[in-house]
Amino acid sequence: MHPAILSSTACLAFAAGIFAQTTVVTPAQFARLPGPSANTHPIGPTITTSPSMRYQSIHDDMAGKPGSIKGMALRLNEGATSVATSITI
Amino acid sequence: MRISTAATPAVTATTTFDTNHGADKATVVPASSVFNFGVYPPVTPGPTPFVFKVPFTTPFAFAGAGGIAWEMLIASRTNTTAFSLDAASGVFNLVGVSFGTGCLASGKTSAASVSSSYSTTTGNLTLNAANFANSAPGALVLGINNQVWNGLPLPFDIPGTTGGSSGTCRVYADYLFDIPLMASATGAMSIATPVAINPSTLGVFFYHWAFGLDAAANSLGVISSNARYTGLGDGTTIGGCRVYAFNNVAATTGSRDSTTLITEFTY
Repeated sequence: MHPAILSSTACLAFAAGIFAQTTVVTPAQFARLPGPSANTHPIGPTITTSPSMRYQSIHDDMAGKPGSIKGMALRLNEGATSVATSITI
Repeated sequence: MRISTAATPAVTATTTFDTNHGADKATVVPASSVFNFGVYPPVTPGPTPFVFKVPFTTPFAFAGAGGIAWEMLIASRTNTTAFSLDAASGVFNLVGVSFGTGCLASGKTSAASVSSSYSTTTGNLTLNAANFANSAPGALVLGINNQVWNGLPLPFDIPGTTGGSSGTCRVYADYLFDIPLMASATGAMSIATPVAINPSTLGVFFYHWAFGLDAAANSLGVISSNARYTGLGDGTTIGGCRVYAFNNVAATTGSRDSTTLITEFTY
Protein backbone atom coordinates (compact mmCIF):
# COMPACT_ATOMS: atom_id res chain seq x y z
CA MET A 1 0.00 0.00 0.00
CA HIS A 2 1.25 3.49 -0.81
CA PRO A 3 2.53 5.20 2.37
CA ALA A 4 0.14 8.15 1.87
CA ILE A 5 -2.86 5.79 1.64
CA LEU A 6 -1.67 3.85 4.66
CA SER A 7 -1.29 7.10 6.58
CA SER A 8 -4.78 8.28 5.61
CA THR A 9 -6.28 4.94 6.57
CA ALA A 10 -4.56 5.06 9.93
CA CYS A 11 -5.83 8.59 10.53
CA LEU A 12 -9.39 7.59 9.70
CA ALA A 13 -9.22 4.60 11.98
CA PHE A 14 -7.81 6.77 14.74
CA ALA A 15 -10.52 9.38 14.24
CA ALA A 16 -13.22 6.71 14.26
CA GLY A 17 -11.84 5.41 17.52
CA ILE A 18 -11.89 8.86 19.05
CA PHE A 19 -15.39 9.76 17.98
CA ALA A 20 -17.10 6.38 18.19
CA GLN A 21 -19.93 6.38 20.70
CA THR A 22 -21.19 3.33 22.44
CA THR A 23 -24.34 2.99 24.47
CA VAL A 24 -25.25 0.82 27.43
CA VAL A 25 -28.84 0.06 28.40
CA THR A 26 -29.68 -0.54 32.03
CA PRO A 27 -31.23 -2.70 33.36
CA ALA A 28 -29.52 -4.70 30.65
CA GLN A 29 -32.43 -7.13 30.26
CA PHE A 30 -34.31 -4.43 28.42
CA ALA A 31 -31.84 -3.60 25.70
CA ARG A 32 -34.04 -5.50 23.26
CA LEU A 33 -37.25 -5.97 25.25
CA PRO A 34 -39.80 -3.41 26.40
CA GLY A 35 -39.99 -2.93 30.14
CA PRO A 36 -42.90 -4.63 31.93
CA SER A 37 -43.99 -1.49 33.78
CA ALA A 38 -44.22 2.24 33.24
CA ASN A 39 -44.01 5.47 35.18
CA THR A 40 -44.46 9.13 34.36
CA HIS A 41 -41.63 10.52 36.50
CA PRO A 42 -39.43 12.44 36.15
CA ILE A 43 -40.15 13.74 32.64
CA GLY A 44 -43.76 12.79 32.00
CA PRO A 45 -45.96 14.13 34.84
CA THR A 46 -48.02 17.26 34.36
CA ILE A 47 -47.19 20.66 35.73
CA THR A 48 -50.20 20.28 37.99
CA THR A 49 -49.22 16.89 39.42
CA SER A 50 -45.56 17.54 39.90
CA PRO A 51 -44.33 21.02 38.99
CA SER A 52 -40.89 20.21 40.37
CA MET A 53 -39.18 17.22 41.92
CA ARG A 54 -35.97 15.57 42.99
CA TYR A 55 -35.61 12.16 41.34
CA GLN A 56 -32.83 9.62 41.88
CA SER A 57 -32.37 6.28 40.13
CA ILE A 58 -29.91 3.51 41.01
CA HIS A 59 -28.70 0.90 38.54
CA ASP A 60 -26.68 -1.99 39.97
CA ASP A 61 -25.76 -3.56 36.65
CA MET A 62 -23.62 -0.60 35.61
CA ALA A 63 -20.88 -2.03 37.81
CA GLY A 64 -17.99 -3.18 35.70
CA LYS A 65 -18.82 -0.85 32.80
CA PRO A 66 -16.27 1.93 33.22
CA GLY A 67 -15.75 4.81 30.84
CA SER A 68 -16.41 8.43 30.17
CA ILE A 69 -20.20 8.82 30.22
CA LYS A 70 -21.29 11.64 27.97
CA GLY A 71 -25.04 11.55 28.37
CA MET A 72 -28.11 9.55 29.19
CA ALA A 73 -31.54 9.02 27.73
CA LEU A 74 -34.92 7.64 28.70
CA ARG A 75 -37.57 6.15 26.49
CA LEU A 76 -41.32 6.39 26.13
CA ASN A 77 -43.37 3.46 27.32
CA GLU A 78 -44.53 1.20 24.49
CA GLY A 79 -47.82 2.40 23.06
CA ALA A 80 -47.61 5.78 24.76
CA THR A 81 -47.62 9.14 23.01
CA SER A 82 -45.67 12.03 24.45
CA VAL A 83 -46.56 15.70 24.34
CA ALA A 84 -44.18 18.55 23.67
CA THR A 85 -42.62 19.59 26.94
CA SER A 86 -39.93 21.86 28.22
CA ILE A 87 -38.09 20.87 31.38
CA THR A 88 -35.65 22.93 33.38
CA ILE A 89 -33.15 20.74 35.18
CA MET B 1 -28.18 16.82 37.13
CA ARG B 2 -25.90 14.70 39.27
CA ILE B 3 -24.36 11.28 38.87
CA SER B 4 -22.04 9.11 40.90
CA THR B 5 -20.87 5.60 41.53
CA ALA B 6 -23.67 4.40 43.78
CA ALA B 7 -22.64 4.06 47.40
CA THR B 8 -24.96 1.10 47.83
CA PRO B 9 -26.75 -1.53 45.78
CA ALA B 10 -30.37 -0.68 45.07
CA VAL B 11 -31.67 -3.19 47.60
CA THR B 12 -30.03 -1.30 50.47
CA ALA B 13 -30.50 2.22 49.14
CA THR B 14 -32.13 4.56 51.63
CA THR B 15 -34.68 7.32 51.35
CA THR B 16 -31.94 9.88 51.97
CA PHE B 17 -30.75 10.97 48.55
CA ASP B 18 -27.19 11.88 49.39
CA THR B 19 -26.36 8.66 51.24
CA ASN B 20 -26.94 6.73 48.02
CA HIS B 21 -24.35 8.75 46.15
CA GLY B 22 -20.70 7.81 46.06
CA ALA B 23 -17.82 10.14 46.80
CA ASP B 24 -17.36 10.85 43.11
CA LYS B 25 -20.75 12.60 42.81
CA ALA B 26 -20.52 15.10 39.99
CA THR B 27 -22.78 17.71 38.45
CA VAL B 28 -22.96 16.76 34.80
CA VAL B 29 -25.65 19.22 33.72
CA PRO B 30 -25.65 22.62 35.42
CA ALA B 31 -28.72 24.02 37.11
CA SER B 32 -31.17 26.02 35.00
CA SER B 33 -30.48 23.96 31.87
CA VAL B 34 -33.55 23.76 29.66
CA PHE B 35 -34.45 20.65 27.64
CA ASN B 36 -37.15 20.75 25.01
CA PHE B 37 -38.69 17.45 23.98
CA GLY B 38 -41.03 16.97 21.06
CA VAL B 39 -44.09 14.88 20.41
CA TYR B 40 -43.13 11.25 19.96
CA PRO B 41 -45.60 8.81 18.41
CA PRO B 42 -46.59 5.49 19.97
CA VAL B 43 -44.50 2.44 19.18
CA THR B 44 -45.88 -1.03 19.78
CA PRO B 45 -44.89 -3.53 20.90
CA GLY B 46 -41.59 -1.77 21.49
CA PRO B 47 -39.03 -1.34 22.78
CA THR B 48 -39.30 2.32 21.89
CA PRO B 49 -36.28 4.45 20.95
CA PHE B 50 -34.42 6.48 23.58
CA VAL B 51 -35.76 9.89 22.62
CA PHE B 52 -35.48 11.80 25.89
CA LYS B 53 -31.77 12.54 25.58
CA VAL B 54 -29.85 14.46 28.19
CA PRO B 55 -26.31 15.12 27.00
CA PHE B 56 -23.89 15.86 29.80
CA THR B 57 -22.20 19.24 29.78
CA THR B 58 -19.38 17.65 31.74
CA PRO B 59 -18.70 13.95 31.01
CA PHE B 60 -18.64 11.65 34.02
CA ALA B 61 -15.48 9.59 34.50
CA PHE B 62 -17.01 6.34 35.68
CA ALA B 63 -14.61 3.80 37.15
CA GLY B 64 -17.17 0.99 37.15
CA ALA B 65 -16.51 0.07 40.77
CA GLY B 66 -20.22 -0.11 41.55
CA GLY B 67 -23.61 0.72 40.17
CA ILE B 68 -24.65 4.18 39.08
CA ALA B 69 -26.84 6.67 40.90
CA TRP B 70 -28.17 9.42 38.67
CA GLU B 71 -30.33 12.24 39.78
CA MET B 72 -32.49 14.86 38.10
CA LEU B 73 -33.60 17.99 39.89
CA ILE B 74 -36.57 19.15 37.90
CA ALA B 75 -37.01 22.85 38.68
CA SER B 76 -39.96 23.36 36.37
CA ARG B 77 -41.89 21.78 33.53
CA THR B 78 -44.52 22.82 31.02
CA ASN B 79 -46.47 19.72 30.04
CA THR B 80 -50.17 19.66 30.79
CA THR B 81 -50.78 16.07 29.66
CA ALA B 82 -48.98 13.21 31.36
CA PHE B 83 -47.13 10.48 29.50
CA SER B 84 -45.37 7.33 30.67
CA LEU B 85 -41.75 6.30 30.48
CA ASP B 86 -40.60 2.71 30.13
CA ALA B 87 -39.70 1.04 33.41
CA ALA B 88 -39.24 -2.23 35.25
CA SER B 89 -39.44 -3.47 38.82
CA GLY B 90 -39.37 -6.64 40.87
CA VAL B 91 -38.59 -10.01 39.34
CA PHE B 92 -38.52 -10.02 35.56
CA ASN B 93 -40.48 -13.02 34.33
CA LEU B 94 -42.51 -11.72 31.44
CA VAL B 95 -43.43 -8.60 29.51
CA GLY B 96 -46.65 -8.58 27.53
CA VAL B 97 -47.80 -5.87 25.17
CA SER B 98 -51.19 -6.02 23.46
CA PHE B 99 -51.74 -4.13 20.24
CA GLY B 100 -54.36 -3.75 17.55
CA THR B 101 -58.12 -4.14 17.99
CA GLY B 102 -60.12 -7.31 17.76
CA CYS B 103 -63.51 -7.48 16.13
CA LEU B 104 -66.84 -8.20 17.81
CA ALA B 105 -68.30 -11.66 18.23
CA SER B 106 -72.05 -12.09 17.98
CA GLY B 107 -73.69 -11.54 21.36
CA LYS B 108 -70.64 -9.74 22.78
CA THR B 109 -70.19 -6.14 23.74
CA SER B 110 -66.38 -6.18 23.99
CA ALA B 111 -63.92 -6.90 21.19
CA ALA B 112 -62.16 -10.25 21.01
CA SER B 113 -58.83 -9.98 22.78
CA VAL B 114 -55.82 -11.97 23.90
CA SER B 115 -53.55 -11.79 26.93
CA SER B 116 -50.61 -13.62 28.47
CA SER B 117 -49.35 -14.11 31.98
CA TYR B 118 -46.85 -16.06 34.04
CA SER B 119 -47.48 -17.52 37.48
CA THR B 120 -44.53 -17.99 39.79
CA THR B 121 -46.77 -20.23 41.90
CA THR B 122 -47.51 -22.77 39.19
CA GLY B 123 -44.61 -22.02 36.84
CA ASN B 124 -47.09 -21.85 34.00
CA LEU B 125 -47.10 -19.49 31.05
CA THR B 126 -50.74 -18.96 30.17
CA LEU B 127 -52.09 -17.67 26.87
CA ASN B 128 -55.67 -16.45 26.94
CA ALA B 129 -58.34 -15.29 24.53
CA ALA B 130 -61.67 -13.74 25.46
CA ASN B 131 -64.88 -12.46 23.97
CA PHE B 132 -65.32 -15.09 21.29
CA ALA B 133 -68.63 -16.71 20.43
CA ASN B 134 -69.72 -18.93 23.30
CA SER B 135 -68.86 -22.63 22.93
CA ALA B 136 -67.62 -22.17 19.36
CA PRO B 137 -64.51 -23.69 17.75
CA GLY B 138 -61.46 -21.47 17.52
CA ALA B 139 -57.70 -21.45 17.84
CA LEU B 140 -54.79 -19.63 19.40
CA VAL B 141 -52.22 -18.69 16.76
CA LEU B 142 -48.52 -18.27 17.46
CA GLY B 143 -46.05 -16.33 15.34
CA ILE B 144 -42.83 -14.36 15.49
CA ASN B 145 -43.45 -11.39 13.20
CA ASN B 146 -45.78 -8.39 13.32
CA GLN B 147 -44.52 -6.77 10.12
CA VAL B 148 -45.14 -9.33 7.40
CA TRP B 149 -46.78 -12.73 7.03
CA ASN B 150 -45.86 -14.76 3.97
CA GLY B 151 -45.32 -11.61 1.92
CA LEU B 152 -48.42 -9.82 3.20
CA PRO B 153 -47.74 -6.60 5.13
CA LEU B 154 -49.30 -6.65 8.58
CA PRO B 155 -51.88 -5.80 9.74
CA PHE B 156 -54.29 -6.72 6.98
CA ASP B 157 -58.07 -6.87 6.79
CA ILE B 158 -59.59 -10.34 6.62
CA PRO B 159 -61.69 -10.55 3.44
CA GLY B 160 -65.37 -11.18 4.06
CA THR B 161 -65.49 -9.52 7.47
CA THR B 162 -66.17 -5.89 6.58
CA GLY B 163 -69.83 -4.94 6.76
CA GLY B 164 -70.82 -7.56 9.32
CA SER B 165 -71.79 -6.93 12.93
CA SER B 166 -68.22 -7.90 13.82
CA GLY B 167 -66.76 -4.87 12.12
CA THR B 168 -63.65 -5.44 10.04
CA CYS B 169 -61.51 -8.21 11.48
CA ARG B 170 -57.74 -7.93 11.09
CA VAL B 171 -54.63 -10.03 11.44
CA TYR B 172 -51.82 -8.31 13.36
CA ALA B 173 -49.14 -11.02 13.52
CA ASP B 174 -47.97 -13.92 11.42
CA TYR B 175 -49.15 -17.53 11.63
CA LEU B 176 -46.52 -20.14 12.38
CA PHE B 177 -48.87 -22.67 13.92
CA ASP B 178 -52.12 -22.81 15.83
CA ILE B 179 -53.57 -24.60 18.80
CA PRO B 180 -57.19 -25.60 18.10
CA LEU B 181 -59.48 -24.98 21.07
CA MET B 182 -63.15 -24.81 21.87
CA ALA B 183 -64.33 -21.56 23.42
CA SER B 184 -65.89 -21.91 26.84
CA ALA B 185 -69.51 -21.17 27.62
CA THR B 186 -68.44 -17.56 28.14
CA GLY B 187 -66.33 -17.32 24.96
CA ALA B 188 -62.90 -17.78 26.50
CA MET B 189 -59.97 -19.89 25.29
CA SER B 190 -56.87 -20.65 27.30
CA ILE B 191 -53.83 -22.86 27.37
CA ALA B 192 -51.21 -23.15 30.11
CA THR B 193 -47.70 -24.49 29.59
CA PRO B 194 -44.99 -25.02 32.19
CA VAL B 195 -42.01 -22.77 31.48
CA ALA B 196 -38.88 -22.54 33.60
CA ILE B 197 -37.99 -18.86 33.50
CA ASN B 198 -34.24 -18.46 33.92
CA PRO B 199 -31.36 -16.53 32.34
CA SER B 200 -31.47 -18.74 29.24
CA THR B 201 -35.04 -17.64 28.49
CA LEU B 202 -34.21 -13.93 28.48
CA GLY B 203 -35.21 -12.37 25.18
CA VAL B 204 -37.32 -15.25 23.89
CA PHE B 205 -40.42 -13.69 22.38
CA PHE B 206 -43.44 -14.55 20.30
CA TYR B 207 -46.76 -13.13 19.25
CA HIS B 208 -50.14 -14.71 19.67
CA TRP B 209 -53.64 -13.93 18.50
CA ALA B 210 -56.83 -15.92 18.14
CA PHE B 211 -59.67 -16.57 15.77
CA GLY B 212 -63.02 -18.25 16.18
CA LEU B 213 -65.92 -19.40 14.10
CA ASP B 214 -68.97 -17.16 14.31
CA ALA B 215 -71.46 -17.58 11.49
CA ALA B 216 -73.58 -14.64 12.60
CA ALA B 217 -70.74 -12.12 12.85
CA ASN B 218 -69.97 -11.58 9.15
CA SER B 219 -70.17 -13.25 5.76
CA LEU B 220 -66.92 -15.18 6.31
CA GLY B 221 -68.15 -16.50 9.64
CA VAL B 222 -64.87 -15.84 11.44
CA ILE B 223 -63.76 -13.26 13.98
CA SER B 224 -60.26 -12.44 15.16
CA SER B 225 -58.62 -10.80 18.15
CA ASN B 226 -55.99 -8.16 18.63
CA ALA B 227 -52.43 -9.48 19.06
CA ARG B 228 -50.12 -9.86 22.00
CA TYR B 229 -46.35 -9.65 22.15
CA THR B 230 -44.90 -11.77 24.95
CA GLY B 231 -41.23 -11.53 25.89
CA LEU B 232 -39.71 -13.81 28.51
CA GLY B 233 -37.44 -12.52 31.21
CA ASP B 234 -34.64 -14.14 33.17
CA GLY B 235 -36.40 -14.67 36.50
CA THR B 236 -34.01 -12.38 38.33
CA THR B 237 -34.73 -9.32 40.43
CA ILE B 238 -34.18 -6.02 38.69
CA GLY B 239 -31.18 -4.42 40.38
CA GLY B 240 -32.56 -0.94 40.59
CA CYS B 241 -34.68 1.47 42.54
CA ARG B 242 -35.68 5.10 42.75
CA VAL B 243 -35.97 7.75 45.42
CA TYR B 244 -38.15 10.74 44.70
CA ALA B 245 -39.65 13.80 46.31
CA PHE B 246 -42.35 15.94 44.76
CA ASN B 247 -42.38 19.72 44.59
CA ASN B 248 -39.08 20.24 46.35
CA VAL B 249 -35.77 19.99 44.51
CA ALA B 250 -33.95 20.68 47.78
CA ALA B 251 -35.54 17.74 49.60
CA THR B 252 -33.01 15.62 51.45
CA THR B 253 -35.26 12.58 51.76
CA GLY B 254 -38.00 11.08 49.63
CA SER B 255 -40.04 7.97 48.91
CA ARG B 256 -38.28 4.84 47.73
CA ASP B 257 -39.50 1.90 45.62
CA SER B 258 -38.09 -0.61 43.16
CA THR B 259 -39.31 1.11 40.00
CA THR B 260 -36.34 1.51 37.69
CA LEU B 261 -36.47 3.57 34.51
CA ILE B 262 -34.97 1.91 31.46
CA THR B 263 -31.95 4.12 30.89
CA GLU B 264 -29.38 4.37 28.14
CA PHE B 265 -25.93 5.78 28.87
CA THR B 266 -23.76 7.08 26.07
CA TYR B 267 -20.02 6.58 26.41
